[in-house]
Amino acid sequence: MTETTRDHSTTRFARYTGRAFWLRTAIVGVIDAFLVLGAVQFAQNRSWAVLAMLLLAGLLINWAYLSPRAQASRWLTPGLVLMMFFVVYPVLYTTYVSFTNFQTGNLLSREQAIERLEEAEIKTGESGELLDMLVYRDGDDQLALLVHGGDAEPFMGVVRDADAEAAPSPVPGFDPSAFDPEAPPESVDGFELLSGLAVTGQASRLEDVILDLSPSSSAEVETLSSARLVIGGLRFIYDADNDTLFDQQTGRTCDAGEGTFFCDGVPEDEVQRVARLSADTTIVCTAGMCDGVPLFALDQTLAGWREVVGPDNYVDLLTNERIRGPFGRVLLWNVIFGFGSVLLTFALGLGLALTLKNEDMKYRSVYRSIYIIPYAVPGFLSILVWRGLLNNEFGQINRMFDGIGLPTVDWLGSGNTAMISVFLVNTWLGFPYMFLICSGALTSIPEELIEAARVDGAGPWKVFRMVTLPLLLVSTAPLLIGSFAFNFNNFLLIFLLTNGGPPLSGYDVPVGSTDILISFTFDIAAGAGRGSQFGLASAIIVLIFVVLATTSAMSFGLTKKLEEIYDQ
Amino acid sequence: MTSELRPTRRPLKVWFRRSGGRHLVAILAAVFALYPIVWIVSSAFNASDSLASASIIPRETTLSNFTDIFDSEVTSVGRWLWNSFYIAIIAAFVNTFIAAMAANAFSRLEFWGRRVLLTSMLVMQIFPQFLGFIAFFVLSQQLGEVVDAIGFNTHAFLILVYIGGAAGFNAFLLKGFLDSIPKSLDEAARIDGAGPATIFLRIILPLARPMLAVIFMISFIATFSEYILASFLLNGDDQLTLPIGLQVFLAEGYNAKWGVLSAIALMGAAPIVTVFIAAQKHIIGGLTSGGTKG
Repeated sequence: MTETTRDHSTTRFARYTGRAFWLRTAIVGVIDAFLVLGAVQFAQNRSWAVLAMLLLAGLLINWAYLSPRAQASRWLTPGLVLMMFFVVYPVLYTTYVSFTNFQTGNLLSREQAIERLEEAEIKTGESGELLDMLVYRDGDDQLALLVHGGDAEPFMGVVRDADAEAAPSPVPGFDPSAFDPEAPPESVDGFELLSGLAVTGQASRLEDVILDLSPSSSAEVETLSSARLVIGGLRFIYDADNDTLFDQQTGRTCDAGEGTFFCDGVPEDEVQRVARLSADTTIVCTAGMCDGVPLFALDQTLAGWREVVGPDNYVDLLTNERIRGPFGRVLLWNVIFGFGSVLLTFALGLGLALTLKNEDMKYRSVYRSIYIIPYAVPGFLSILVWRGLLNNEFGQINRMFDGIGLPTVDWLGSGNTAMISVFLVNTWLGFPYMFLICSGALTSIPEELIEAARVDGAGPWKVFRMVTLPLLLVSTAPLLIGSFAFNFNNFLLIFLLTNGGPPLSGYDVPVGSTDILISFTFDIAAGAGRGSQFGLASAIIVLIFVVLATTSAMSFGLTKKLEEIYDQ
Repeated sequence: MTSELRPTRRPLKVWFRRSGGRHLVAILAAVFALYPIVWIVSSAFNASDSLASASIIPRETTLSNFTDIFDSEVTSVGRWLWNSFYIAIIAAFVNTFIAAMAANAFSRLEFWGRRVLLTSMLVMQIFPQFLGFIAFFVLSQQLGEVVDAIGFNTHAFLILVYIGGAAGFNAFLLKGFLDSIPKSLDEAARIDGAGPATIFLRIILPLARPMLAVIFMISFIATFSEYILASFLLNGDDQLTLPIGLQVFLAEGYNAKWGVLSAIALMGAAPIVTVFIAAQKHIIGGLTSGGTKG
């Protein structure tokens, strides 16, 4: 930064050697210490974006407050750091999320998700089969068991306590294929077969011991000569070399794919239809067997991971009928709502501004003050009050209708009347603003122009249409565009008045008759009953960005506001 | 309908033809504007406090709706009101101060990248901050893993978000105002030996007080009413802000809670309406040069 301040070089020099400089250095030093401490931890947590911003903020702070050449940045740094974290980053991050599958079930990183899968336990298993059991003991007084019978292959291994961690430890010298139940081996690897009486002597040691047969099955000692087979334990084994997951419950090997593992050869009745299946997840079923089945279609609780999936969310939005349908509907109503709101509030505001234009009108300032009131009441309060007034059973409006003999209307309960109610309340909320700006704009229209038109023989309506309105539109157009952008995202009104309702059914996403994009998105992200779909929600937000950027570009073009700034 | 033609005393018929129509329109609009307000006021004091039994002129008046607000056994409304209030005060205050600092640099200093920075700050403000709620949700959790105090479900994080939100636009509004303060004042102070910080605190800020007040008000109202971010970032009855708390509170039994809602609405609205009407000129100037109410 090249500074051209009218600073005196000697005073500047003084400031960089004086007490203030050392104090500032000390403060920056303390901030740096915390930043480094934080940076290390964010790096450990793999929060790379936060880490990058932290480092950038650190550089900016150090440079701004230590370099004698940095002058303006000393004033700008607090604002810039906050804007980086809370304005720029959210826009970039939302755009990034819109290209990922970030949603309930895919919230974790890949490493975390695989870790979680490795902890998953077998849920259903046959247990209860009784196996014959032989007890062995070696010179160190260690016990080993040999179980056989049923469908299970004979197995000999060292026992563990019930509370110890499961880990099969077979006796290596035991050969299952040579095993004959009539003539069990007397001795294997130093383990001696105990006679019936000797086993009784070990009875207390045999309580509560478990023989692990495999990671997912074990035998629990039942009597002195039998053990009960228990299938359970951990379900999956991850093979890092091949990036595959072995499902011990079903014996299938599943391959890693987008966001989760995909299994082949799954019987059709095991596959669940879930909302999370995106358009390009293709499960191919032939003759009752399905290929390419994602884990979450087998069991929704199995974790997947978050990863970049490209334009899938956008493709879903535009091609998946069960999402495109409601999206199109919401978009259409959103545009109607935005334009309609601007039109209604502008018409009423302008009408009132014209009505009160005459400065000699009595009580003019009283009217003005009254019209400002709706604008000054915090929006969420007045919207909630309107919801009460429009209440079907008890609301004042229906009671008034009833009182004068009109049929009552379920204002917020059906699609069309809910839309009318939304317009009614938004007109109440918005007309004061339009009244104020129109009043201001009217006073700036030169009276001579109107006089001239009148002299030329134009009637009042023609004067309004040909002179007043065009001039008014020129000066208020940017504000009208701003008002459109505001109403386009008027979440508070929709959410508090109708909550987007009344709800429509039959779609993959929650949607209602008066939902606008942002309330629709909110429900998708907040996961109204079906889990949060952050990726899809972000894609819609990015589309809202596009709408806003377009309207703002129009607005900037109209005002040439920027040139005024530069001229300063 | 020009004023010169108006007679000093007119028959009613003439008066009506001349300006009666205007008054009729104006009065109808006033009725529309005041309709919910009247209900708020009368229901707030109505002893029978359900929606079904509300009437414009209550048969019996009471203050119990107001005392109920602060009775923690009836509602947490008092708690939510306090949360909203202090969050909005802190956020608006710091936001205004930071915006003033940035505006000071834009107005008083020439530096490389000034135009680009000012433009990009404005452009970024096109995107309403609440659209970033997913990013903030994730960010709060990542920050919270390292520093509990600014993590998910803390007021501190929410305040930081609000401070960052409107800083750019407010700086832009303030810059325009600071430009109108003569630079000769700074010169004079500098000659007297004042440093940049002193000039800012002792000269610029006091002179910019009206505009600072307006920006503080706008920030305060916007923050006080903010819904999406607060609902994504807070959780648990005690932590909520008023808009979210009220929505939860009213989710069941709108009818029975009408009296309390009216009392809250009256309390929440009265101070702001008063300030608004009193300071009409300043606030309207600030608002119409900016955007719409947030």
